[in-house]
Amino acid sequence: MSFNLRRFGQAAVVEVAGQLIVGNRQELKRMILAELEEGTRQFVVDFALTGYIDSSGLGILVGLSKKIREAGGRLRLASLNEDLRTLFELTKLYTLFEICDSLEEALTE
Amino acid sequence: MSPADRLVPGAAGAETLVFELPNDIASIEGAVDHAVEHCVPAGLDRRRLLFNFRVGLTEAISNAMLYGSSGGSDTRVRVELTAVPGEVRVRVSDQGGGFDPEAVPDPRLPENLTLPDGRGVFVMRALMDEVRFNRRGNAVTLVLREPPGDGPTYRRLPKPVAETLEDFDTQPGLDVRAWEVVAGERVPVHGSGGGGSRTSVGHSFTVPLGTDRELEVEVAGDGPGSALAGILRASLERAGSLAREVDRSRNALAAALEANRTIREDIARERLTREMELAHDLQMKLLPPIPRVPGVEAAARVMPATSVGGDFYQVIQLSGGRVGVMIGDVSGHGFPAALIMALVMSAAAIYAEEGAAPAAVLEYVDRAIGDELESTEMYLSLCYCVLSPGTAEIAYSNAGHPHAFVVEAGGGARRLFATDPPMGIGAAPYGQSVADWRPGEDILLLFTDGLSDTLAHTGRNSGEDLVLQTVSARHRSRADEILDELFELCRRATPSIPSDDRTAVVLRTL
Repeated sequence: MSFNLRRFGQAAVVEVAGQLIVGNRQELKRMILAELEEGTRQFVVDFALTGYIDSSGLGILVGLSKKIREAGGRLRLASLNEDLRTLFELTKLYTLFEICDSLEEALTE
Repeated sequence: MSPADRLVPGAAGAETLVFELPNDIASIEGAVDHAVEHCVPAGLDRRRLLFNFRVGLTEAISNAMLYGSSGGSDTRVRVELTAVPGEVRVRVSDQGGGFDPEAVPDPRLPENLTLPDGRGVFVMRALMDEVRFNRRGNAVTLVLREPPGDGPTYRRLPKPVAETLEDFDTQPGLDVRAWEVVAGERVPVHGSGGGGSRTSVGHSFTVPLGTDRELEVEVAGDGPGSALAGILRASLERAGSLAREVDRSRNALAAALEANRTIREDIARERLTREMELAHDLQMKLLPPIPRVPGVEAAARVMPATSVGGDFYQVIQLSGGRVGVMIGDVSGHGFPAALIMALVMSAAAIYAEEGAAPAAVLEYVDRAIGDELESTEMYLSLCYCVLSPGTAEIAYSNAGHPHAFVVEAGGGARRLFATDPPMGIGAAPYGQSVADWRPGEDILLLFTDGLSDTLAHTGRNSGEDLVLQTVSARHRSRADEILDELFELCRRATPSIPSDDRTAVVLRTL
């Protein structure tokens, strides 16, 4: 699995290629916190290439969302497939996140 | 199947796959994919298998590792998996003291919603059809089932209709003809159904063969024939109903085979996309073109491997007409190796372009990636040479790169010995050395293990000797022609895609 970081204007987009799970979640955390440290405030996590997320992955997103918000920034989640969307709904986490249908939507909103 | 697996025969012909995992969260993803491949006989919906099952099993294993271990790193998590048609059942157990799953608070409550942890058991229950903990709380059994009603049918294969008909043909005094009727079309399938004269038709009847086709049967005969016709009809009706089962089973089997294929493909594709293609693209994109430096003729090439290695080279134009040549080989494969390679190349290029001496460039690279090497436990060989057209010296630093040579016009070759151990094993300060260089005559030849290892299998000489001989024999050829020859030798040695990258750089000055 891997996380690919790209920049679109002011926003940092992290693409989750593969799984976001207990075994790699710290990598995502380090990547986003380093960007936050550098001054980036607009974040999008793009799930277009994601297979699955476990509860640890959900947990790391909750933690990051809090840190970004505290720094005055904004975290959006983009391109969740039906299964991932269901997971956010079952856990009621969709209330915590801004969820966008596509990366384009997340970047233009 | 991995060597540590055991297959244990169980009830109803099902086998239970048993394996154990070290207490290492990095092993979970591979273990889960391994388990999925064993689930194929269940014939479950592919999406549920790839999402619900993988997430559920990931939760169970990570729970066992994070909360179930008794502390020591040698504790292991045990996975037992049984797949029967329509159902997958997996038990995950650890050696810990267990926990009370009922005591876990509902993560959906507003006060728990922003907590980073505590969703594992909930997610398992939401995605699996059944979740059962043992009394002690250190083992959990997860079940995923085919939704009732449209599960595949697996029965003993029936005796086909055609065989029933043939059996009765051997009966004296009985003439059996049959037609299959599909969508109103009547096709002869048995006997001379197409025509011919017949004295009398004693019996005729229809037997359903499936939802959209039936069998029409005519029996001619007298005497004992009429009694046999009754038996034939009963036999065909039984065969017909069994044939319908066969069809259903065949469809289910085809679906299971298709599921098997697509699941394996999906898993393989996921791995390919994220490990190899990414790493490989990155590697290829990073390798810069050879700059045109006046008085310098250079060529370089990588033949990439199936699993991406971390070979790289760069030829850098320096001030004062000088040229820097670098080759490196990162231990390990895949994305981490490509990442190290990317970091080394960008750090080296920045400092080299400022005109730093070879030892200083290596020190700078070490500073830039030392932490990354330490945390990933990787290391790399790195050799950097600086030459100026017209001068009789080559300055170089060599951190453990085994194949760096000056090949002379007369056929001899001088090795540029390592000045230091590989980077990641050794540390700054780095040494630097000088070698004699005859402009217009000598060839600088740098290559990686992948090249010499391939050729090692082709003859009595070592692979390295063979590379050197090839370059010597082609000493007057253009740099790119020398590489053509080397890589053609490799191609002939192993026509398949290699398991390690093969890289070579050839350079001469005027």
